[in-house]
Amino acid sequence: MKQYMKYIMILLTCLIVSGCSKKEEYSKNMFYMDTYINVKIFTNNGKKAKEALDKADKIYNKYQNLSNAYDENSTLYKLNHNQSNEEYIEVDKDLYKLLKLGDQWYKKSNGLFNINMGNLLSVWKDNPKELPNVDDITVYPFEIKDGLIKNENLYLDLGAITKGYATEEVGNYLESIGFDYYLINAGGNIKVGKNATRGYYNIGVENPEKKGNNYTVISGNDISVVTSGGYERFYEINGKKYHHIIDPNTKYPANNSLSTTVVTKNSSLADILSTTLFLMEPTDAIKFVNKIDDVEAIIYVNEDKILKSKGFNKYEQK
Amino acid sequence: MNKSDFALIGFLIVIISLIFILLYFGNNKKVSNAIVYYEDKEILKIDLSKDKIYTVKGYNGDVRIKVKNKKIKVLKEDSPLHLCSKQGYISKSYESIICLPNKIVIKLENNSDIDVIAG
Repeated sequence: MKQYMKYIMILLTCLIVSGCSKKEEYSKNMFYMDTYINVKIFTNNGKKAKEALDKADKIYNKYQNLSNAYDENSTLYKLNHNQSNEEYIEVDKDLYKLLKLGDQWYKKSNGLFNINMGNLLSVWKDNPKELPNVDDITVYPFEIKDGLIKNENLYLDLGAITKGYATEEVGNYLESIGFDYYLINAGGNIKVGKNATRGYYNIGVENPEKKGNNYTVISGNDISVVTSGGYERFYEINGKKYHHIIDPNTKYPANNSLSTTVVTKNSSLADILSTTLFLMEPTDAIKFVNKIDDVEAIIYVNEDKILKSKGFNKYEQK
Repeated sequence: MNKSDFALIGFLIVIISLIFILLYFGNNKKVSNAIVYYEDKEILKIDLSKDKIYTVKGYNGDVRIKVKNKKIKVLKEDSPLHLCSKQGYISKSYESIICLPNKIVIKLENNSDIDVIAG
Protein backbone atom coordinates (compact mmCIF):
# COMPACT_ATOMS: atom_id res chain seq x y z
CA MET A 1 0.00 0.00 0.00
CA LYS A 2 2.81 2.37 0.84
CA GLN A 3 4.46 1.72 -2.52
CA TYR A 4 1.20 2.50 -4.32
CA MET A 5 0.96 5.74 -2.38
CA LYS A 6 4.48 6.73 -3.42
CA TYR A 7 3.60 6.39 -7.12
CA ILE A 8 0.55 8.57 -6.66
CA MET A 9 2.67 11.24 -4.99
CA ILE A 10 5.23 11.12 -7.81
CA LEU A 11 2.48 11.36 -10.40
CA LEU A 12 0.89 14.30 -8.62
CA THR A 13 4.22 16.09 -8.28
CA CYS A 14 4.81 15.69 -12.01
CA LEU A 15 1.37 17.11 -12.75
CA ILE A 16 1.95 20.09 -10.48
CA VAL A 17 5.35 20.79 -12.00
CA SER A 18 4.04 20.56 -15.55
CA GLY A 19 1.01 22.64 -14.66
CA CYS A 20 3.07 25.39 -13.07
CA SER A 21 5.90 25.50 -15.56
CA LYS A 22 3.88 27.61 -17.99
CA LYS A 23 6.41 30.06 -19.33
CA GLU A 24 6.00 33.73 -18.49
CA GLU A 25 6.27 36.39 -21.17
CA TYR A 26 8.98 39.04 -20.82
CA SER A 27 8.71 41.82 -23.36
CA LYS A 28 10.43 45.07 -24.28
CA ASN A 29 9.42 47.90 -26.62
CA MET A 30 12.11 49.84 -28.46
CA PHE A 31 12.21 52.56 -31.07
CA TYR A 32 15.07 52.28 -33.53
CA MET A 33 15.60 52.63 -37.28
CA ASP A 34 12.48 54.69 -37.66
CA THR A 35 10.33 51.84 -36.42
CA TYR A 36 8.74 50.19 -33.41
CA ILE A 37 10.49 47.03 -32.22
CA ASN A 38 9.12 44.52 -29.71
CA VAL A 39 11.08 41.54 -28.38
CA LYS A 40 9.30 38.87 -26.34
CA ILE A 41 10.97 36.02 -24.47
CA PHE A 42 8.99 33.15 -22.93
CA THR A 43 10.76 31.62 -19.95
CA ASN A 44 10.68 30.96 -16.23
CA ASN A 45 13.93 32.82 -15.68
CA GLY A 46 12.78 36.43 -15.41
CA LYS A 47 16.06 37.91 -14.27
CA LYS A 48 18.01 36.41 -17.14
CA ALA A 49 15.24 37.40 -19.60
CA LYS A 50 15.40 41.05 -18.54
CA GLU A 51 19.15 41.10 -19.01
CA ALA A 52 18.74 39.51 -22.44
CA LEU A 53 16.14 42.13 -23.43
CA ASP A 54 18.55 44.90 -22.47
CA LYS A 55 21.22 43.26 -24.58
CA ALA A 56 18.75 43.02 -27.51
CA ASP A 57 18.15 46.75 -27.11
CA LYS A 58 21.89 47.34 -27.30
CA ILE A 59 22.19 45.30 -30.50
CA TYR A 60 19.49 47.35 -32.26
CA ASN A 61 21.09 50.53 -30.95
CA LYS A 62 24.46 49.41 -32.30
CA TYR A 63 23.09 48.88 -35.81
CA GLN A 64 21.25 52.17 -35.76
CA ASN A 65 24.47 54.01 -34.89
CA LEU A 66 26.31 52.02 -37.50
CA SER A 67 24.07 52.43 -40.49
CA ASN A 68 21.72 55.40 -40.23
CA ALA A 69 22.41 57.21 -43.52
CA TYR A 70 20.86 60.42 -42.20
CA ASP A 71 22.70 60.68 -38.89
CA GLU A 72 25.91 62.71 -39.15
CA ASN A 73 27.47 60.69 -36.35
CA SER A 74 26.83 57.25 -37.85
CA THR A 75 29.64 55.14 -39.26
CA LEU A 76 27.80 54.94 -42.58
CA TYR A 77 27.33 58.71 -42.86
CA LYS A 78 31.03 59.24 -42.26
CA LEU A 79 31.85 56.73 -44.97
CA ASN A 80 29.47 58.32 -47.49
CA HIS A 81 30.84 61.80 -46.76
CA ASN A 82 34.52 60.95 -46.38
CA GLN A 83 37.12 63.45 -47.60
CA SER A 84 39.79 60.88 -48.42
CA ASN A 85 41.65 60.96 -51.73
CA GLU A 86 42.45 57.26 -51.66
CA GLU A 87 40.96 55.10 -54.39
CA TYR A 88 39.94 52.42 -51.89
CA ILE A 89 39.16 53.10 -48.25
CA GLU A 90 38.83 50.85 -45.24
CA VAL A 91 35.36 50.03 -43.91
CA ASP A 92 34.36 49.34 -40.30
CA LYS A 93 34.26 45.55 -39.80
CA ASP A 94 30.57 45.31 -38.82
CA LEU A 95 29.54 47.64 -41.60
CA TYR A 96 31.56 45.62 -44.10
CA LYS A 97 29.51 42.51 -43.29
CA LEU A 98 26.35 44.39 -44.25
CA LEU A 99 27.95 45.73 -47.44
CA LYS A 100 29.11 42.25 -48.36
CA LEU A 101 25.59 40.91 -48.06
CA GLY A 102 24.34 43.84 -50.13
CA ASP A 103 27.00 43.15 -52.77
CA GLN A 104 26.09 39.47 -52.91
CA TRP A 105 22.40 40.21 -53.62
CA TYR A 106 23.21 43.10 -55.94
CA LYS A 107 24.91 40.52 -58.14
CA LYS A 108 22.28 37.81 -57.72
CA SER A 109 19.47 40.24 -58.54
CA ASN A 110 21.26 41.77 -61.54
CA GLY A 111 21.49 45.15 -59.89
CA LEU A 112 17.85 45.35 -58.81
CA PHE A 113 18.72 45.18 -55.12
CA ASN A 114 21.08 48.11 -54.78
CA ILE A 115 22.15 49.52 -51.41
CA ASN A 116 23.96 52.44 -53.08
CA MET A 117 20.85 54.42 -54.04
CA GLY A 118 20.83 56.96 -51.21
CA ASN A 119 20.92 59.84 -53.72
CA LEU A 120 17.72 58.56 -55.35
CA LEU A 121 15.95 57.47 -52.15
CA SER A 122 16.46 60.83 -50.49
CA VAL A 123 14.35 62.70 -53.06
CA TRP A 124 11.42 60.36 -52.38
CA LYS A 125 12.02 60.09 -48.65
CA ASP A 126 10.39 63.22 -47.30
CA ASN A 127 7.03 62.77 -48.99
CA PRO A 128 7.45 65.37 -51.74
CA LYS A 129 4.40 67.47 -52.61
CA GLU A 130 5.24 67.34 -56.31
CA LEU A 131 6.82 64.63 -58.38
CA PRO A 132 10.58 64.98 -58.01
CA ASN A 133 12.81 65.39 -61.04
CA VAL A 134 14.80 62.17 -61.16
CA ASP A 135 16.31 62.56 -64.64
CA ASP A 136 19.54 64.01 -63.31
CA ILE A 137 20.02 61.31 -60.72
CA THR A 138 22.32 58.45 -61.66
CA VAL A 139 22.15 55.13 -59.86
CA TYR A 140 25.67 53.83 -59.35
CA PRO A 141 26.97 50.38 -58.50
CA PHE A 142 29.49 50.00 -55.68
CA GLU A 143 32.61 47.91 -55.40
CA ILE A 144 34.04 46.23 -52.32
CA LYS A 145 36.93 43.83 -51.71
CA ASP A 146 38.96 42.64 -48.70
CA GLY A 147 37.49 45.07 -46.19
CA LEU A 148 37.79 48.03 -48.57
CA ILE A 149 35.31 50.01 -50.66
CA LYS A 150 36.00 51.91 -53.88
CA ASN A 151 35.82 55.57 -52.94
CA GLU A 152 33.68 56.79 -55.80
CA ASN A 153 29.99 57.75 -55.95
CA LEU A 154 29.15 56.52 -52.48
CA TYR A 155 25.46 56.92 -51.67
CA LEU A 156 25.03 53.94 -49.38
CA ASP A 157 21.63 53.54 -47.72
CA LEU A 158 21.18 50.30 -45.77
CA GLY A 159 17.50 50.75 -44.96
CA ALA A 160 16.61 47.56 -46.83
CA ILE A 161 19.07 45.40 -44.87
CA THR A 162 19.74 46.67 -41.37
CA LYS A 163 16.45 45.82 -39.66
CA GLY A 164 16.58 42.23 -40.84
CA TYR A 165 20.28 41.92 -40.10
CA ALA A 166 19.98 43.26 -36.55
CA THR A 167 16.93 41.07 -35.92
CA GLU A 168 18.87 37.99 -37.04
CA GLU A 169 21.66 38.88 -34.63
CA VAL A 170 19.19 39.36 -31.76
CA GLY A 171 17.54 35.99 -32.49
CA ASN A 172 20.89 34.22 -32.66
CA TYR A 173 21.97 35.87 -29.42
CA LEU A 174 18.80 34.71 -27.62
CA GLU A 175 19.32 31.14 -28.83
CA SER A 176 23.00 31.22 -27.84
CA ILE A 177 22.10 31.89 -24.21
CA GLY A 178 19.38 29.24 -24.14
CA PHE A 179 16.24 31.23 -24.96
CA ASP A 180 14.61 29.20 -27.72
CA TYR A 181 11.12 30.56 -27.10
CA TYR A 182 10.90 34.09 -28.46
CA LEU A 183 9.07 36.42 -30.83
CA ILE A 184 10.66 39.49 -32.39
CA ASN A 185 8.64 42.10 -34.24
CA ALA A 186 10.87 44.76 -35.77
CA GLY A 187 8.32 46.97 -37.48
CA GLY A 188 6.68 44.04 -39.26
CA ASN A 189 9.94 42.13 -39.74
CA ILE A 190 9.05 39.02 -37.77
CA LYS A 191 11.45 36.41 -36.40
CA VAL A 192 10.18 33.64 -34.14
CA GLY A 193 11.79 30.82 -32.21
CA LYS A 194 9.76 28.05 -30.62
CA ASN A 195 6.25 28.47 -29.26
CA ALA A 196 5.56 27.51 -25.67
CA THR A 197 1.77 27.23 -25.76
CA ARG A 198 0.55 26.16 -29.19
CA GLY A 199 3.70 24.56 -30.57
CA TYR A 200 3.90 26.99 -33.51
CA TYR A 201 3.31 30.69 -34.18
CA ASN A 202 0.59 32.15 -36.38
CA ILE A 203 1.82 35.16 -38.30
CA GLY A 204 -0.86 37.15 -40.09
CA VAL A 205 -0.12 38.80 -43.42
CA GLU A 206 -2.18 41.93 -43.85
CA ASN A 207 -4.41 42.35 -46.87
CA PRO A 208 -2.92 45.44 -48.57
CA GLU A 209 -6.38 46.45 -49.80
CA LYS A 210 -8.27 45.85 -46.55
CA LYS A 211 -6.73 47.27 -43.43
CA GLY A 212 -6.87 45.11 -40.31
CA ASN A 213 -7.61 41.94 -42.27
CA ASN A 214 -5.19 39.12 -43.05
CA TYR A 215 -5.26 37.51 -46.47
CA THR A 216 -3.15 34.60 -45.29
CA VAL A 217 -1.71 33.25 -42.06
CA ILE A 218 1.76 31.73 -41.92
CA SER A 219 2.28 29.04 -39.27
CA GLY A 220 5.63 27.80 -38.09
CA ASN A 221 8.57 27.75 -35.71
CA ASP A 222 12.09 29.06 -36.16
CA ILE A 223 11.22 31.22 -39.15
CA SER A 224 11.47 34.82 -40.26
CA VAL A 225 8.66 36.52 -42.15
CA VAL A 226 9.09 39.89 -43.84
CA THR A 227 6.59 41.79 -45.96
CA SER A 228 7.39 44.64 -48.32
CA GLY A 229 4.63 46.84 -49.59
CA GLY A 230 3.65 50.36 -50.33
CA TYR A 231 0.27 50.23 -48.59
CA GLU A 232 1.31 51.25 -45.11
CA ARG A 233 3.55 54.24 -45.51
CA PHE A 234 2.53 56.19 -48.56
CA TYR A 235 1.66 59.71 -49.64
CA GLU A 236 -0.30 61.31 -52.43
CA ILE A 237 0.77 63.58 -55.26
CA ASN A 238 -2.03 64.86 -57.51
CA GLY A 239 -4.37 62.22 -56.14
CA LYS A 240 -2.02 59.33 -56.90
CA LYS A 241 -0.40 57.19 -54.22
CA TYR A 242 3.37 56.87 -53.94
CA HIS A 243 5.56 54.93 -51.53
CA HIS A 244 9.20 54.50 -50.60
CA ILE A 245 10.37 51.33 -52.36
CA ILE A 246 12.12 52.69 -55.41
CA ASP A 247 12.97 50.80 -58.60
CA PRO A 248 16.57 51.61 -59.66
CA ASN A 249 15.59 51.27 -63.34
CA THR A 250 12.56 53.56 -63.47
CA LYS A 251 13.73 55.64 -60.46
CA TYR A 252 10.07 55.64 -59.40
CA PRO A 253 8.24 53.68 -56.70
CA ALA A 254 7.74 50.10 -57.89
CA ASN A 255 4.19 49.03 -58.70
CA ASN A 256 4.43 45.41 -59.79
CA SER A 257 2.46 44.14 -56.82
CA LEU A 258 0.81 45.47 -53.66
CA SER A 259 2.87 43.37 -51.26
CA THR A 260 5.47 40.63 -51.25
CA THR A 261 6.08 38.35 -48.26
CA VAL A 262 9.08 36.08 -47.76
CA VAL A 263 9.39 33.18 -45.31
CA THR A 264 12.79 31.71 -44.52
CA LYS A 265 14.96 30.96 -41.50
CA ASN A 266 17.33 33.91 -41.76
CA SER A 267 15.84 37.33 -41.08
CA SER A 268 18.32 39.37 -43.13
CA LEU A 269 17.70 37.14 -46.15
CA ALA A 270 13.93 37.54 -45.70
CA ASP A 271 14.38 41.33 -45.51
CA ILE A 272 16.55 41.53 -48.63
CA LEU A 273 14.38 39.18 -50.68
CA SER A 274 11.06 40.80 -49.82
CA THR A 275 12.36 44.09 -51.24
CA THR A 276 13.95 42.38 -54.24
CA LEU A 277 10.75 40.50 -55.11
CA PHE A 278 8.73 43.69 -54.75
CA LEU A 279 10.91 45.24 -57.47
CA MET A 280 10.34 42.30 -59.83
CA GLU A 281 7.50 41.43 -62.14
CA PRO A 282 5.46 38.97 -59.98
CA THR A 283 5.83 35.80 -62.11
CA ASP A 284 9.57 36.47 -62.48
CA ALA A 285 9.74 37.01 -58.73
CA ILE A 286 8.20 33.58 -58.06
CA LYS A 287 10.60 31.93 -60.54
CA PHE A 288 13.49 33.71 -58.84
CA VAL A 289 12.50 32.53 -55.37
CA ASN A 290 11.77 28.96 -56.53
CA LYS A 291 15.47 28.64 -57.40
CA ILE A 292 16.59 29.50 -53.87
CA ASP A 293 16.63 26.67 -51.31
CA ASP A 294 14.48 26.96 -48.17
CA VAL A 295 12.90 30.26 -49.13
CA GLU A 296 9.17 30.64 -49.80
CA ALA A 297 7.15 33.65 -50.87
CA ILE A 298 3.60 34.87 -51.41
CA ILE A 299 2.85 37.87 -53.61
CA TYR A 300 -0.35 39.90 -53.48
CA VAL A 301 -0.65 41.37 -56.97
CA ASN A 302 -4.33 42.22 -56.58
CA GLU A 303 -7.50 40.71 -55.12
CA ASP A 304 -7.80 38.17 -57.93
CA LYS A 305 -4.13 37.41 -58.34
CA ILE A 306 -2.13 35.97 -55.46
CA LEU A 307 1.01 34.04 -56.40
CA LYS A 308 2.83 31.52 -54.21
CA SER A 309 6.21 29.84 -54.46
CA LYS A 310 6.14 26.07 -54.88
CA GLY A 311 6.65 25.13 -51.22
CA PHE A 312 4.65 27.94 -49.65
CA ASN A 313 1.65 25.75 -48.78
CA LYS A 314 3.52 24.03 -45.97
CA TYR A 315 3.38 27.26 -43.95
CA GLU A 316 -0.25 28.12 -44.63
CA GLN A 317 -2.64 27.67 -41.75
CA LYS A 318 -4.95 24.75 -42.33
CA MET B 1 -2.90 4.86 4.07
CA ASN B 2 -4.78 6.68 6.72
CA LYS B 3 -7.35 9.43 6.60
CA SER B 4 -4.85 12.27 6.41
CA ASP B 5 -3.18 10.68 3.37
CA PHE B 6 -6.49 10.64 1.54
CA ALA B 7 -7.10 14.22 2.59
CA LEU B 8 -3.71 15.22 1.21
CA ILE B 9 -4.33 13.47 -2.11
CA GLY B 10 -7.80 15.01 -2.34
CA PHE B 11 -6.35 18.42 -1.63
CA LEU B 12 -3.67 18.01 -4.30
CA ILE B 13 -6.22 16.89 -6.89
CA VAL B 14 -8.36 19.96 -6.22
CA ILE B 15 -5.35 22.29 -6.48
CA ILE B 16 -4.15 20.72 -9.74
CA SER B 17 -7.63 20.87 -11.26
CA LEU B 18 -7.85 24.54 -10.33
CA ILE B 19 -4.49 25.27 -11.93
CA PHE B 20 -5.52 23.59 -15.17
CA ILE B 21 -8.90 25.31 -15.23
CA LEU B 22 -7.29 28.70 -14.66
CA LEU B 23 -4.65 28.09 -17.33
CA TYR B 24 -7.23 26.89 -19.82
CA PHE B 25 -9.94 29.49 -19.33
CA GLY B 26 -7.47 32.26 -18.57
CA ASN B 27 -6.40 32.16 -22.23
CA ASN B 28 -9.85 32.46 -23.68
CA LYS B 29 -11.13 35.82 -22.53
CA LYS B 30 -12.59 38.41 -24.90
CA VAL B 31 -10.77 41.61 -25.85
CA SER B 32 -11.84 43.95 -23.13
CA ASN B 33 -8.81 46.12 -22.48
CA ALA B 34 -6.35 48.20 -24.43
CA ILE B 35 -2.96 48.93 -22.98
CA VAL B 36 -1.12 52.16 -23.71
CA TYR B 37 2.66 52.25 -23.49
CA TYR B 38 5.06 55.19 -23.50
CA GLU B 39 8.33 53.69 -24.71
CA ASP B 40 8.51 50.59 -22.55
CA LYS B 41 6.28 51.74 -19.71
CA GLU B 42 2.63 50.81 -19.39
CA ILE B 43 0.95 54.16 -18.72
CA LEU B 44 -2.73 53.40 -19.09
CA LYS B 45 -5.12 50.48 -19.21
CA ILE B 46 -8.34 51.29 -21.04
CA ASP B 47 -11.63 49.47 -20.58
CA LEU B 48 -13.05 49.16 -24.09
CA SER B 49 -16.62 48.70 -22.88
CA LYS B 50 -16.89 52.40 -22.00
CA ASP B 51 -17.06 55.04 -24.75
CA LYS B 52 -14.69 57.73 -23.61
CA ILE B 53 -11.84 60.03 -24.63
CA TYR B 54 -8.46 59.78 -22.92
CA THR B 55 -5.39 61.99 -23.03
CA VAL B 56 -1.86 60.71 -22.47
CA LYS B 57 1.51 62.45 -22.68
CA GLY B 58 3.57 61.55 -25.74
CA TYR B 59 7.07 62.69 -26.68
CA ASN B 60 5.73 65.67 -28.70
CA GLY B 61 2.84 66.47 -26.35
CA ASP B 62 -0.69 65.27 -25.70
CA VAL B 63 -2.04 62.24 -27.53
CA ARG B 64 -5.83 61.97 -27.50
CA ILE B 65 -7.34 58.50 -27.66
CA LYS B 66 -10.99 57.71 -28.36
CA VAL B 67 -12.93 54.59 -27.49
CA LYS B 68 -16.24 53.92 -29.19
CA ASN B 69 -18.24 50.71 -29.60
CA LYS B 70 -15.34 48.63 -28.26
CA LYS B 71 -12.99 50.10 -30.88
CA ILE B 72 -10.09 52.40 -30.21
CA LYS B 73 -8.29 55.07 -32.22
CA VAL B 74 -5.93 57.99 -31.85
CA LEU B 75 -7.87 61.20 -32.29
CA LYS B 76 -5.13 63.78 -32.25
CA GLU B 77 -1.37 63.92 -31.80
CA ASP B 78 1.53 66.13 -32.78
CA SER B 79 3.75 64.55 -35.45
CA PRO B 80 4.97 65.35 -38.99
CA LEU B 81 2.87 62.79 -40.87
CA HIS B 82 0.07 61.97 -38.40
CA LEU B 83 0.30 58.31 -39.39
CA CYS B 84 -1.22 57.03 -36.18
CA SER B 85 -4.23 59.37 -36.14
CA LYS B 86 -4.81 58.59 -39.83
CA GLN B 87 -4.85 54.88 -39.05
CA GLY B 88 -8.37 54.97 -37.62
CA TYR B 89 -10.08 52.47 -35.35
CA ILE B 90 -8.65 49.10 -34.40
CA SER B 91 -10.58 46.32 -32.69
CA LYS B 92 -8.88 43.00 -33.44
CA SER B 93 -6.61 41.77 -30.72
CA TYR B 94 -3.55 41.40 -32.94
CA GLU B 95 -3.81 44.97 -34.22
CA SER B 96 -1.87 47.84 -32.70
CA ILE B 97 -1.45 51.58 -33.12
CA ILE B 98 2.06 52.95 -33.09
CA CYS B 99 2.73 56.67 -32.81
CA LEU B 100 6.43 56.60 -33.57
CA PRO B 101 7.36 60.26 -33.06
CA ASN B 102 5.39 60.24 -29.81
CA LYS B 103 6.74 56.86 -28.65
CA ILE B 104 3.21 55.75 -27.84
CA VAL B 105 2.07 52.20 -28.52
CA ILE B 106 -1.51 51.01 -28.09
CA LYS B 107 -2.08 47.28 -27.96
CA LEU B 108 -5.23 45.25 -27.44
CA GLU B 109 -5.11 42.31 -25.08
CA ASN B 110 -4.45 39.32 -27.29
CA ASN B 111 -7.07 36.60 -27.29
CA SER B 112 -6.81 35.47 -30.90
CA ASP B 113 -4.96 32.70 -32.67
CA ILE B 114 -2.79 35.24 -34.47
CA ASP B 115 0.42 36.08 -32.61
CA VAL B 116 1.72 38.91 -34.74
CA ILE B 117 1.36 40.64 -38.13
CA ALA B 118 4.08 40.76 -40.78
CA GLY B 119 4.05 43.96 -42.76
